[in-house]
This record gives sequence, structure tokens and C-alpha cells, in this order.
Amino acid sequence: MNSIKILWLSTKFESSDLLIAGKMVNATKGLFISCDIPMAQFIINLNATLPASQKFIIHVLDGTHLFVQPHAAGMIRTAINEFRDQNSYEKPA
Amino acid sequence: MAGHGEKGRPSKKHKSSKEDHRNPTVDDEDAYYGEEFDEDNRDGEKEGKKRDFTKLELKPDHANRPLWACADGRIFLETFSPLYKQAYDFLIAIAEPVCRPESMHEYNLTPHSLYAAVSVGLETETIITVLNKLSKTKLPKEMIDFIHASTANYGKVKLVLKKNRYFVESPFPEVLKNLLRDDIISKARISSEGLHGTDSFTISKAIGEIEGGHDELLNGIELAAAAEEKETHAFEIDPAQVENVKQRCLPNALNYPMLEEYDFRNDTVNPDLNMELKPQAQPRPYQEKSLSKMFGNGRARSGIIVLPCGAGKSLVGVSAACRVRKSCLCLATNAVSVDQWAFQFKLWSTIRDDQICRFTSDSKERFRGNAGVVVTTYNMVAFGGKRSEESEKIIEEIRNREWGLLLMDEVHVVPAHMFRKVISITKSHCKLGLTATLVREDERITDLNFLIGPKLYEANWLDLVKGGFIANVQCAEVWCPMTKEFFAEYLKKENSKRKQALYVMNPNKFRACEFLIRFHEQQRGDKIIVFADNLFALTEYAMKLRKPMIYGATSHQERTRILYAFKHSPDVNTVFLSKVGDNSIDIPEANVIIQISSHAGSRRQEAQRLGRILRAKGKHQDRMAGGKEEYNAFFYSLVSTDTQEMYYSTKRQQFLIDQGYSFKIITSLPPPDSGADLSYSSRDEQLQLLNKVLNAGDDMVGLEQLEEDTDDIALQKARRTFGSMSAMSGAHGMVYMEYNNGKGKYPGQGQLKSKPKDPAKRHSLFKKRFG
Repeated sequence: MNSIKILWLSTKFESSDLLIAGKMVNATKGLFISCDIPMAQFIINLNATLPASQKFIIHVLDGTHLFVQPHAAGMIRTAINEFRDQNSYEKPA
Repeated sequence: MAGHGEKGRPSKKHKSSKEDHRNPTVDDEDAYYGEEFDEDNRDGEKEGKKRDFTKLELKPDHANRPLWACADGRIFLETFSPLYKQAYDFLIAIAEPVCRPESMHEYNLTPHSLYAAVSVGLETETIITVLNKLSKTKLPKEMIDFIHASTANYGKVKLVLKKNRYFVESPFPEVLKNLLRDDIISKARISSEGLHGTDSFTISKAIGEIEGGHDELLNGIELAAAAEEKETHAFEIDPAQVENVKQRCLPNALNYPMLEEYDFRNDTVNPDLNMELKPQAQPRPYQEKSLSKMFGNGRARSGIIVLPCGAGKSLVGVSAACRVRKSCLCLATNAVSVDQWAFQFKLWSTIRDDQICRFTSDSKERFRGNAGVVVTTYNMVAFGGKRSEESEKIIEEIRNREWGLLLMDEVHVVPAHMFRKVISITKSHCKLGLTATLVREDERITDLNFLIGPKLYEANWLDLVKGGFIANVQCAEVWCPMTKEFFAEYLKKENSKRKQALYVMNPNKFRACEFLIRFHEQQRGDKIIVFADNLFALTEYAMKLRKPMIYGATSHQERTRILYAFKHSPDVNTVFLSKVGDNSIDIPEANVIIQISSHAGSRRQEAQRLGRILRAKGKHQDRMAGGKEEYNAFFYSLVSTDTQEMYYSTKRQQFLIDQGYSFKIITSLPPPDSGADLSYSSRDEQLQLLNKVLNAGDDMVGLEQLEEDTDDIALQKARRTFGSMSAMSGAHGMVYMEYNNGKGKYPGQGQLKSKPKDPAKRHSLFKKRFG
């Protein structure tokens, strides 16, 4: 259930621009997130509730992969943990 | 067995909603979303030290003894010991069961449980000696002291009903003086006029004298009893205050718990009722045992007997009435069970038709003669409004009669205030409460101790399963992942009121449900009940799958027709029920339950629904341990993962887990290779369904309100909070979870997984290991 992998996208690109097929390509450093479908929706929803200046998703790659700002990792983890805690019951001692 | 690491975590979830929930006039919506309890923040470290029992001395022959007794009052019983049966019978009498899985049971000694022990006739010294005999270690001094302290005062005070007046009796005048120092009790006292002073009690030298003119009727035994009693001091109390007085006398207040015994054999005032058990009524061993607890010394004791659904509670009730052989008032929760009780009385006993009568809003019968059985509902008795002339007369009769036995069914569901009313209206010598699930989501379970009496007997579910008395149920929780679109809507703030509809209508859940129905109908030929509390879901599911359904608004005729078809037609194998089916509809044929939505975290509902399929079916020898069929009944709970439902689902299971059941987790249903022919397999269909859910009116997506079912209304008004029998008696369970590693039992169901543990919640010791 809601397994989530956050990988640092190791990029060989320098921040310099490359010219491919006559177009300028921007290489952006970021996080590559791989997770299940509901968690991707959760992150997208989290992103949507934030004001424009704090939005962190760079690209929704597909149903289970996202590309986000590198600084968002901690925030996403906390949000997911909190969400998960809400949905799990522990018998009181 | 216990995870210490689970304690002391910061409390979480719905804390904010706690306030609305404290509000007694909470409506259904709040009750649904606002269900919460205080999480216990105990210091794990301190607990750890208190629970270090390494110093206890093992007896040399400890291997032969079945239990471990700890200084904090907890007792662990090894169920594989050859002495298990004897030890179990003893422990269930003196201690509160906390958790009873297969190989190891946990019990807790509490003042209440010891009170119950004393009231069934065990003496302090017997308790200590037997416990010591069974324990692997030398009995800790703390435990011995605790037993002494708790039982010192028990049995010194009695509550007696004589000629419609209540008396508090004791051979020790000091004790009565002590009691009267209490405000509540002294106020409740009725002093007969012209008495010399406030401190004097009615003194009766022997029982014989009270009954004045009946001296010649006394036989030898009675004289002996009278001689033994010598001098009894008594004072009369106000019948309306009986309950308060009893409460003041409980261990947590004055600590003079009252014994209530009814010497029915020597009761010459109330006329006998001529009825006996029919010869074919053979009580099973556990039924005998529970009755022997009640009639241990030839008198009838008030108390509660706990037996799982389908284990034959009604036979216990009828047998008790047959032993007392006095007028009996039988209270049930609704009109349907009134009919069932009346039927059971006629089935098991030789009672004549004119001696038994039903009193409900539809049938107002009165029995002829001077003794009989009246079956009615709590509501009918407690009803406060205006009644018809006819029922007023019957109520008056009930009120004025002195009942030999007050038989109360399903005591756990009746709100405490209603109990109070019933008990203050009816005067009975002896009260017997019957229930399957002594849990409630409010704290009111504690009240039963003084409203009815101590728990006399509680059966072990797994033992009954092994004996073939109830069905062996495979419980499973089916995890259905939310689809992308449904989950996206679920997360949106504006849909907060539709959350339930969204997770119930999750297409993956629907497909899992359809798959299970197909599998059980076609491969096993089972009869299936599908439960849905959510009306919108109930209708959608039933229509799409073309199955009959019953909910609150279904007419009686229609219900009868559907149930008849379900019982007799080979074509109707599945029926959809809303929560009306939780207890009032009896469907003994069903052996599979699929639960698609439920009332939040109600453990009682879960247990009650399971009870629908507990009645054992098939041949007895096949059901026994090692018989042909390992499981003959199935209980599926479909849960949408990543939603609130996960929280509720785990909570709901706690009661059954404490009874020793384990829930198998099933993921990926339907199996990936066989989903194409099920409904909602294409994305377009799923989107259409989503649209339907989002466009349904607010009133549609909520929970069902059973308006016409007046009998049940009070039940829903009950405020739900977290509480349990064990909590009230001090038998706090430790965190206990059972994970099933699930070796697949049925074909084609895909892999089974154990619940992954959140690494953040691991105990520090394990954290190190797992990194």
C-alpha cells in the first residue's frame, strides 16, 4: 500500500542549455517520484491546495510518476505520514 | 503478545472533532465522522519496568501448571495445557477475559470480576488456593493482598425484595450504619413512621418470622437456613432509588457490593408457574455451565450471561425461566424478536398458550391465571408518552406484579436510561441479562454491573467453534485500491460530505464484491448476504447486480417474500441488506457475508453481523476440529485502501480479534487475469459511476435513517464513544495485533499479504534492526 520512492534524479547535465534539433532544452534539477496511483493523486491534490508560489510539481509524468522540486521531499513525506496516520487505527493501551 | 513500542506515540487524528462528539445531541453525520476516543499516552518506559516479572519464582513442576500470574493482576493461560479446561472455568469466574486468541489467553483480575466470583459462591481462600495451584510461579504477594482487599466486604450486604418492598439486609448492624452514613443511601431510606430513632433497623430473628403465618410450611432445610441467619438487620429503601444505592455500594465507592439472590423454591408468596423444559430440549455443556453459575446454591442470582450469537442464548433464557417457575417478564429489542422469544418459549418448554403473551404495539395479549410469561420490548415498558387504554392496563399489571425472573435480551444495545426506567417500573426478584457482545461504543457498559448484576459466565468463542457448536468462520479483509479518479475526488475538500459514498462506490470495490458473489454462488453454492449501511450504495450495487434488497422502507410483505425466496429458491442466492439486517432479520441459511459499508467503527455491529452466519450448519462431525470442512462460513469486509475506511475497519475488528478471530488480508481481488467480464472494467463506465456519485443529492449519500422502525430508534440515539467491558473493569488490554501470513485457502484469489508495518511506528529495538 502506498509505497513511495523518491529518487534524486542524478543528472549529467550542467545547468547550461543544450541545443537539440534547433530547440533550446532546459535541464532542471529535481526529484523523480515513483509511487502508486492513489499516492500520486494525493501529491497532486497537495500541490493544488498550495498557493502558486509554493507549487512544487514540475511535471506529472504519468499515473505513478511525478517530477517535483527537490526541496519538496520532506514536506511530501510528512504530509503522507500524517494522512496515513489518520487512516490507521491502533488499539489503545 | 504485546507491543510495548506502540505506546506513547503522539495522539493523532480527528482530535479537532472531539468536541462535537462530546455533545450528547450529536446527529448521525457527526457520529460518523467525529467518532473518537482519547488515546492513552502512557509512559512506555514506566510500564516496561512494572511489567518485569523476572523475579517471580518458578515452581519446580511449572511445566505441568497452566498459567502465569503477574503482580499487576494479569493472568496468562496456556490453552495447550492439559489442565486448560479446568483452569478456564475457574479463571472465567474470577477474572475478566481481555483477549483470547488460540494458544494464549490474557485475563485480568479486577474488583468487579472478584465481586462476580464471590457472588457465584467462591470464597476468598478458595480463590487464592486454586490460583496458587494453577500458577507456574509462586503467587505474587500483591495479588494475594489484592484478592483479600477486594473480597473482604463482599457478601455482607444483601438486597431483598419482599412483598413488593426493597430491603437492604445484613447480619452486621455496623455495616448498615456505615452505609447509612452515605448521603445517597440515607436519602433513599424509607423509615416507617413512629420509629424510635434513625439508627434502628428492622430486626428479624429468623426468616420464619417474617412470613408469620407460613410457619407450618417451613421444611427442615428452611429451618436450618433460618437458624443460620440468626439475626438479620434491615432497612427499607425507595424502589426508585434502588439503582443508586446499588451503585454506591460498588467496589469503586463504598465497597459493599450487594448480593441479589432469590430463594425461589421457598417463595410461597408468588404463585408458581407450571412449566418445564421439554425432554428434547437438551442444553449443551456450556449452556449447562452458564445455568449452574446462575443457580449455584439453589437460589437464583442476578447477572449477565455472555454467549456468542447462534450459540443458543434463548434456550438458556427459557431454561432459567423453567427453573425459577414463577412469572417471567422477557424483554427484547424489537417486535420481531418478541415473536421469536414467544416461539422459543413454546418450542422448548411445556408452557401452555394461554400462559404466555406478547405485548407489542401490534399485539396486546394478556395471560389468564395468576402466573405467566410476558414477552415485550424495552420500548413498550419504558415508553413515556400517552398510551392507549388497553396498553395502559397491561403496563399497570406489569408494574404491580412481583416478577420472579426478569429476562433481558441483548442487554448491550439498550441505552442505560431506558434500563433505568424499565428496572424502576418492574419489580423482579432476579434479573438475567443475555448478550453476545458485551461491548459498547459508549461508557455505559459499566452501568450494567449495578443495573443487572455481575457477569456470571462468558463462553469462549474458539472453544465453541472447536466443539462444532457455532460455525467456523474465515474472516477476511479485502483491500480494494481506490481508482485514480475516485481518489482525486475523495481528496477534494468540497467533497468531504461525500467521502463515504466515494469510498463505498469505488469501482474496484464493486468489482471485488461482484467477483466474490460470483465465486461463492457458482463454485460453492453458498448463500450470501451483502451488507451496506449506505443506502445509495445499496441501491446501486443491488440494481447493477440484479439482486433483491431489503432496507428500512421495504414493506413487511416484500421482506417476507424476498426472504422466503432466499431460503427456498435455488435462483436467489444473494440478498442485499441495509442495517435493518444487523439484528432483527433472522436468516439462518446464509453462510457468507460481504460487507461493503458499515457504521463507522462500531465493534458491536461487526460482531453482530458476524453473528448472522455463526449458527452452525451441516453435519456436526464435519464441523468438529479435524472434520471435513475447515471453514464453513465466510465473512468478507471490503475496504477501500488509503481512506478513512481503513481506520474504521481495523477498529471494528478489535472485538472479534479479542475473541480469537484473525482477519486475513486479501489484496488484488479480482485477480488480474479474470477481471474483464466484471462490471466497471472500462474507464468510461467508471467515470459515469463517478458522475452519478457526485451528482447524487446529499440526502442520498448519507446513512440510512430508520424512521418507521420505532423499536430501533433509541438504539441509534445512543451516543457512541470508545469504551469496553475490559476498560471499565480495569482490564486494559495491551496493544495487540495479529498478522496473518495468509496461506491461500481458496483458489483464484491472488496473493495474500500481511499488513506492512509503518517503519515510523516500529519499536526502537526493531528500528535498529531494520535500519
